[in-house]
Amino acid sequence: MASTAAKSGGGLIARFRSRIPETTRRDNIAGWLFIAPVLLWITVFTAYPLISSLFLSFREWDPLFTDKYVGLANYAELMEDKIFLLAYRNALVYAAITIPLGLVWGMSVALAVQHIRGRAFFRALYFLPTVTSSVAIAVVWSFAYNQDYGLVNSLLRYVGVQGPNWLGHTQWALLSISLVVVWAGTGFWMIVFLAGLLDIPQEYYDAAKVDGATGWQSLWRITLPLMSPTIFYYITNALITVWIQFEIPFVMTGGGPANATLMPALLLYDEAWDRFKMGYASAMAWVMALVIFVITALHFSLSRRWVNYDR
Amino acid sequence: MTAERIANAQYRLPTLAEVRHQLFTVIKYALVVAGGIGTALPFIWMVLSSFKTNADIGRIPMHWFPTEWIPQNYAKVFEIMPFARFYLNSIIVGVLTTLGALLICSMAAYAFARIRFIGRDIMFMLILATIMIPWWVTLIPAYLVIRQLGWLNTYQGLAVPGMLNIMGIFLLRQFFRTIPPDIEDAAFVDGASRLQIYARIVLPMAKPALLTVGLMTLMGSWNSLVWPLVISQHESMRTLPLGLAVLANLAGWVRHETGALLAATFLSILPIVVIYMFLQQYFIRGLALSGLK
Repeated sequence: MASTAAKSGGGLIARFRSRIPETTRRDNIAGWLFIAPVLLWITVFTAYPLISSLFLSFREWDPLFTDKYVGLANYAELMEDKIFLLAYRNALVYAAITIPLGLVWGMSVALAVQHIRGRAFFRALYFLPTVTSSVAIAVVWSFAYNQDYGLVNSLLRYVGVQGPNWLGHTQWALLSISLVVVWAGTGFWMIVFLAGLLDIPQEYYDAAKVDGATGWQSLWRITLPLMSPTIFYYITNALITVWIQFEIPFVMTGGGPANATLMPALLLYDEAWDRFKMGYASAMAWVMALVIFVITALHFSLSRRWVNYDR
Repeated sequence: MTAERIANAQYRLPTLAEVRHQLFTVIKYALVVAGGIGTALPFIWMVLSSFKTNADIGRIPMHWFPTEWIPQNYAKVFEIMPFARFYLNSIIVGVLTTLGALLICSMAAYAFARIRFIGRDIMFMLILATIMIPWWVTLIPAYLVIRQLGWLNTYQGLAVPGMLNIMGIFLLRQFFRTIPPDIEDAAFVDGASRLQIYARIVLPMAKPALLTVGLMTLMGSWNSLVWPLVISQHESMRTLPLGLAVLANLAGWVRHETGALLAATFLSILPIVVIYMFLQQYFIRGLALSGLK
C-alpha cells in the first residue's frame, strides 16, 4: 500500500516533470543563478535599506544610545522645522533658476552647434564638465567666485563692473551655485538634445521652406513640438535632481551663508552624520521621496497635454 | 565703359533672406564659441593658477599667465594632505568597483537577454524599477549595513555597494540581444554549457558595450563624494574627491593655499580627462544612452 502511494507520488512528479522539457528546467536554474549576484546586491543595498529606512523614520534612533518608537512624531516635527522648510524653499528657488535656464541654454547650444563646422570639437569641449567630478568643479568655482582675485570678478573688471562677494553674500550665493550647476550640465544636455534633433526628418524642414516658412517658424512649429519627448525627459530628470543636489553646495558653501544655500540633501546629511539623528533624517528622506513622487506624477499627468509622440 | 562694366558685373544686392541667413550663421558661431570659451576658461584658469605663487594668484588686476612659472604647488600638494594615499585609494576603489560591476551586471544582463526562465520579465522590471528610488532614502540603512559588517574605513566598504549598476544591466542586455542567437545555438550543439557560452562567446563579443559600462562605472566611482564621505572616517581611507572636499571646507591656512588646492584638483581630474580624450565616443554614448530611455 505504502509502496503504491510512493510509486504513484513518484509517478506524479515524473509526469509533471516530463511536461517540462529538460532544457527548460536547466534554463530556469541557470537564469536564476545568473541573476543571483545582482539580487543579493539589491536585497542588501536597496530592498532591505528601503524598508529599514521606513521603520527608522518612525523612531528616535541613533547608532549608539537611543532607540524609541515615536510614531509620526518625526514627520510632525519636520513640518514645524523652520530650517527644513527653508531648505525646500531654497530648493524651489534653485529649481526656478536651473530648470528653465538649463533648458534654454542647452537647447540653444544644441541648435547652434548642429550645423556648424567643428561640431565634434565643440561637443567634446562642452562635455568636459560632465566627466569632471562635482567636487573638482566646486573647488575651482569656489576660487573663481572669490571677490578679489576670482576669475568671475576679474572678467567683470574688464568691463568696469565691481562684482559682489558671490558666495559670501546671502543675496548672491544661491544664484552663484545655480549657475555652476547649469554650467556643469550644459554639455550633457546638449548631447541629449542633439540626439533628439537628429531624429527629426529633414523633409519636414524642406516642406516648410517650400511653403515659405521662416527659420523662426520652423523652430516653433516643427523643432520644438517634435522635441517635446526630449524636453519632457529633461524636465523629469531636473525635477528629481533638484531635491537631491548635494556636492556643489556642500563644497562651495556648506549651506551658508546664514543657510542661504541649504538644500534638503545637505540638511539630511547633517542630521544623520553630524547630529546622529538618524530616525529624524530618515523621515526627511521619506519626505524627499514623497515630494519627488508627487511632482513626478503630476508632471507625467500634465505631459499628455504637451508631449507629442507621433512623428 | 565704366557703367557698362558695372552693369555686366555679377554683383547684386543680397536678398533679405540671404542677409538673414548670414546673420543667423554668425549668431550661431558666436553663441557656440562664447559658450565654448565659458566652458574652457575655468579649466584654463585652474591650470594656469596652479603654476602661480599665492601672491601672484592674488594680484589685482588678474594676470592670465604666471609672472614666474613655479612647480612648487605640485610638491606642496603632497605636504598639505596625504595626496598619494588618496590617489591610491581612488584607484583601488575605482578598479574594484568597475570589475565587480562588469561581472555581476553582465551575468544578469546575459540571463535577461538570452535565458528563458520563470519570472524573468517581472524580475527585470523590478530591478529596473529600483532606479526610481532616490538614493538618499536608502543611504542611512546602507551605511548601517556596512557598519554592521565591520566594513567602515575599508576598501570593500567603499567599493562593494557601487558594483550594482542598474543602467549597466539595462545597456548590456540591450547589447546582448543584438548578438545573433545562431552562434550560441552552434555552441550548444557542441555541448557547451551556459557558463561557457557566456564567458567564452558572449563576453568577448561584447567588448565595446563592456567598455562603455566599465567607463561609466569607473567615472561614477572616481567622482563620487557622498558614499566615501559616510564610509571613510579615517583620513587614510579618503578618496580624491573626499580629500579635496574636506580641505576645501577647512578653515585656516590650508584654505589659503589656493595654488596647491588648484594643483591637487587638476591632478585629481587628470586620469578621467585623459581617458575621456582617448575614448570620447564611449563616454558620450554611455551617458547619452543612459539618458535616453
